Amino acid sequence: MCPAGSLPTVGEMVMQTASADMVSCRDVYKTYGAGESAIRAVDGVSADFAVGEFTAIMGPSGSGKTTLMQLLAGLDTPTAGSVRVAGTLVAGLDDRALTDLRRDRIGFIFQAFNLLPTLTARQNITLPLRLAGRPVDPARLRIIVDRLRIGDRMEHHPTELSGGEQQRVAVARALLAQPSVVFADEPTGALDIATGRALLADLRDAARRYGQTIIMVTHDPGAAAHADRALVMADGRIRAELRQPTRDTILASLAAVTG
Amino acid sequence: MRVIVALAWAQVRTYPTRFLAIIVAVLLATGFLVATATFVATAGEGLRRTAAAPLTTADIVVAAADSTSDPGWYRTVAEVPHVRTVDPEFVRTVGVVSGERRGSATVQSIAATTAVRWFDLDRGTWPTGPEQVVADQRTLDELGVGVGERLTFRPGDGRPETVTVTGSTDLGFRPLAGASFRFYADPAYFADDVPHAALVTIDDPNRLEATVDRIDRLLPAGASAVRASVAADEAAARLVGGSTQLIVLTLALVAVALLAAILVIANTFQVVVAQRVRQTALLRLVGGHRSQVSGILLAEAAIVGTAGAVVGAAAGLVVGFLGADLLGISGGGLRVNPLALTGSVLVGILATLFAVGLPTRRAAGVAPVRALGELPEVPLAAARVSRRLVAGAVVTLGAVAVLAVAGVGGSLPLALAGGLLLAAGLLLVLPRLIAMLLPPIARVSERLGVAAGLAGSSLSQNARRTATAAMAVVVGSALIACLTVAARTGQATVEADLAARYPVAVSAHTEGSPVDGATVRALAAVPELAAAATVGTVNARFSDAGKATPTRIAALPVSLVDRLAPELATPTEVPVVLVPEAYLAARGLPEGSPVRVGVGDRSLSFVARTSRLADTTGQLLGVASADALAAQGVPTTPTTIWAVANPDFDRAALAEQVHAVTAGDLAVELGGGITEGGDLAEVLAILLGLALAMLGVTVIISLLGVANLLGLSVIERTPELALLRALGTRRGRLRAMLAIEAVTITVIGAGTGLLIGVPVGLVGATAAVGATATPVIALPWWQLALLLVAAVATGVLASVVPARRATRISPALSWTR
Ligand SMILES: Nc1ncnc2c1ncn2[C@@H]1O[C@H](COP(=O)(O)OP(=O)(O)OP(=O)(O)O)[C@@H](O)[C@H]1O
Ligand SMILES: [Mg+2]
Repeated sequence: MCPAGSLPTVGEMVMQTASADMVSCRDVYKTYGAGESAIRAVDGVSADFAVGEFTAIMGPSGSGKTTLMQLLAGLDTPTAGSVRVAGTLVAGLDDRALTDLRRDRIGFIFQAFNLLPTLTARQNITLPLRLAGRPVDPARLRIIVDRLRIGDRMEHHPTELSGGEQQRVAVARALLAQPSVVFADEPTGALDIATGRALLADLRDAARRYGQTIIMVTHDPGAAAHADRALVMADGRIRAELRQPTRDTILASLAAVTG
Repeated sequence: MRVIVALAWAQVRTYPTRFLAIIVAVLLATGFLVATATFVATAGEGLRRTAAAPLTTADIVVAAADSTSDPGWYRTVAEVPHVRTVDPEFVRTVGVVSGERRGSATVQSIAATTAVRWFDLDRGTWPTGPEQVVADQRTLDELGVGVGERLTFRPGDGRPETVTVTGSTDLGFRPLAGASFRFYADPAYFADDVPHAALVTIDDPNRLEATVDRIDRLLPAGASAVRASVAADEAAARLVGGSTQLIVLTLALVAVALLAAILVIANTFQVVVAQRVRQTALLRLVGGHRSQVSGILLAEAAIVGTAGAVVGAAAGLVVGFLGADLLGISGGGLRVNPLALTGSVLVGILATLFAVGLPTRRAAGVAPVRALGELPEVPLAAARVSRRLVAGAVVTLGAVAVLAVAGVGGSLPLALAGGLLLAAGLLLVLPRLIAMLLPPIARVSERLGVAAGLAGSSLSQNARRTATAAMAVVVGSALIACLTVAARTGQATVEADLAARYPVAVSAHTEGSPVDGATVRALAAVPELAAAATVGTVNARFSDAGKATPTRIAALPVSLVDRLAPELATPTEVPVVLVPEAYLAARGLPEGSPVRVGVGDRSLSFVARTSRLADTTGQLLGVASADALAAQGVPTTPTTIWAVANPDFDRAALAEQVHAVTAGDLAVELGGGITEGGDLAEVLAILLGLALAMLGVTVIISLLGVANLLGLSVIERTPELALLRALGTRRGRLRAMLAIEAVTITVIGAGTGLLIGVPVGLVGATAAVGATATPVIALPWWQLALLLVAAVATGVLASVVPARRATRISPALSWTR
């Protein structure tokens, strides 16, 4: 529908934004409900996610990881505080602009139900570009799907794909449009460990190659060890930040906050 | 744009069965519309040919002046130059009696000039004298006579005459209205009648205009000459023009079917949208705009709407033509107005697009975050709903007021306006009211067993959908209730009016000879008749007062006096004679005036009172009590039988029986109540039958809606149903659950329909007859009860297919999701 705008490269965007942060939030709160039964799902979080950085968000169940991610992606509005994506204040955007932002700058991967069941793998992968009215570069598509080892599954419908294949189709979709930032909520949650690890490696490699920022929620310390840093949440707050995390440092940190 | 169409197409291709109900609903509504258009065009052309046929063989038609009494008025036309032939046209209405049946017939003349005759005989020969006729084969079949056999004609005021059928023809059409038979006779049959028209041929087609002008100038004032082609067109227009009301009625019913289709389509899309929330959210998440989400749904609607409308149009063409063919009025071949055809298809598509409007808004409102997981659905803004409720309530109350005024004031246009207003108001209010009714129903059903409990909670959880599905049923049943109640009340009113105006239900009289004893016994044995007795009459001379002057005096026997004329019961010093009201009026006499009547060589004194008995039995009589006449020594002959009907008798049935038992007695002529009102009752019955048949389309559409709703909810509840199965619920229980759901919807729909339709029907009937007669309220209890029974039966029927799908769900499916 929308004419293909000339999109700035990641480098140009880094120049535009004052800092080198792709996504940032300041004093973000999110309260569900009111009065006695009110729940503070996110309780005063400030964080920055640099361009090209791979961040894992960890924490016990109910600690507010998903909620925080939704706020960062502009899918939900914070009760208080501000969120910037690519230097733009999300709160100031109307539905149109927000949709365009998601379409052109953000990629999503979830635990399951990532794909439209009525479309083939190829159609699912190219959907954001087609919605934007942008041309699909077949060579680039080929490279991405080959690297994700789904090149021969392109004409299949999601129900005909295994869980791992479905997730890789979702990754391919998140990469093809070259979004500046990819949000992933437990992308390996429905996969066995080996498949999950392979997927994460694919995701990280691709992101590195194209300079994409990745923000991933996970319960798996092994998965988080792929990241450049890990944020550990508890009770809606960030309790720890680990640079170049390893399985062991993550486990120790998790034990500390739940302890 | 392309991606939107592609996404829409992917949906339709992946889930064709979900859209089946929409396609069929559009198909039925569009098919109905196209069938109507095709029927009207085809039948119109056929009728045009039928009406024009008798005029197509002549060049000029000359019509007589209304006032003329000269049987030879047309003769001068022959003197006009270039006129080749002049054939007078006669027509007579007679009673016709065959061995099997009795009825009325029109006898038309056959032109003496062979070239002007407009049909050929298939069998036999043309009539050559006054005692010969021909008829079309259908007429002969219905009367049960063949070529060469005899019939009795009874002209309005003459002696019965025996005619021989000399030939038959196949006209290939049947007159639409009026059950009268048609015969064709030689001009000699019409003796001294004044021809109402004459058919003229000329020898030079180029002088047609000039000759018409000359004839026109030659004719006396009032008579006129026109080209035959013009007269044919006029005749056709008159005939076709008479069916305009029928077309309007049909179009109104088409609109109702469309409304039901729109409700079903909207509901189906509503469910589809609800089932697709997660997909829609995902689409929004990866960058689909609201407008694109709406666009996809509109494209889907356009795809299925077009499919349904095109197939429906094709089916409608066939049905419309077959309908005309069945009635024998497709003589002009298949006729279609291309504009009407495209218009109908467009209406079908637009109705679908219109219906998808609200679901589209809901779909576009789905938040992208819902792609991340199941979240409780945010209820629609309460403010908007209640504003709608208030608006609907105001409109409904206004409509009730208008209807009340219409009922009291007897204004049909006002009643129609009120009905439309009521429909508009109820469309806004009712879904909400029905939705409010569901939770209490669910609570009650929980006590009635497991299946009922499950059904009740499922219905009330999806209260809005359930209400919309019920609404489609309401539309159909309200109209059925309304029409049957209006027809029954209208019929009762007409009956009561006829009973009051025609105290004697059946009268059979001869021209003066004693009536056959067999006929008396046969009539007395008719079960619908309460009392039948012979009435003696005698020739009498009343002072002349024009047309209303009685010619005989009837001696009313004691057995009938109480029932028919209590005013004759007590003997008075001067006996009373009952005379037509018009007679006293014509003589300028007040009620109770003394009159003298000559009987034989005597002159008798009476007090004259007016009574309907005197002029509603087929004879103009003075009626006195038998005792009074006997006391004066007046001899009478039993020429007449009078019978009174049981209360609530069936007029059509009685008429049929009486015609049957008197068919053998050629000497008697029938009169009284049974000879009246039959046409009106017949037209009413035909219209009602037609309307009910056409409402069948609406009923089917609404049941489709119920079945589809259940089917979709089975898909939606697959995990729940699988879990129930896994936990040991028997198949029969699942089936019962779905049947209860369906029946609840149809019964709520039918019940609500009754509540609305019955009063509206009463108001409608009251408004329609209020001005001309006292309305008699009557309810067709049987039909209304049948409506409820049908609601239960069709509900069970609607649940069959969804139930089959539900029982096939494997318990293992409860592990998915
Ligand atoms: N829509 C909502 N309404 C009310 N409460 C909510 C809603 N969404 C989340 N919550 C609550 O907010 C808190 C944080 O939820 P969130 O989903 O962010 O946790 P999480 O860290 O992602 O947990 P998990 O690891 O189990 O996915 C929880 O207590 C949850 O119950
Ligand atoms: Mg979570």
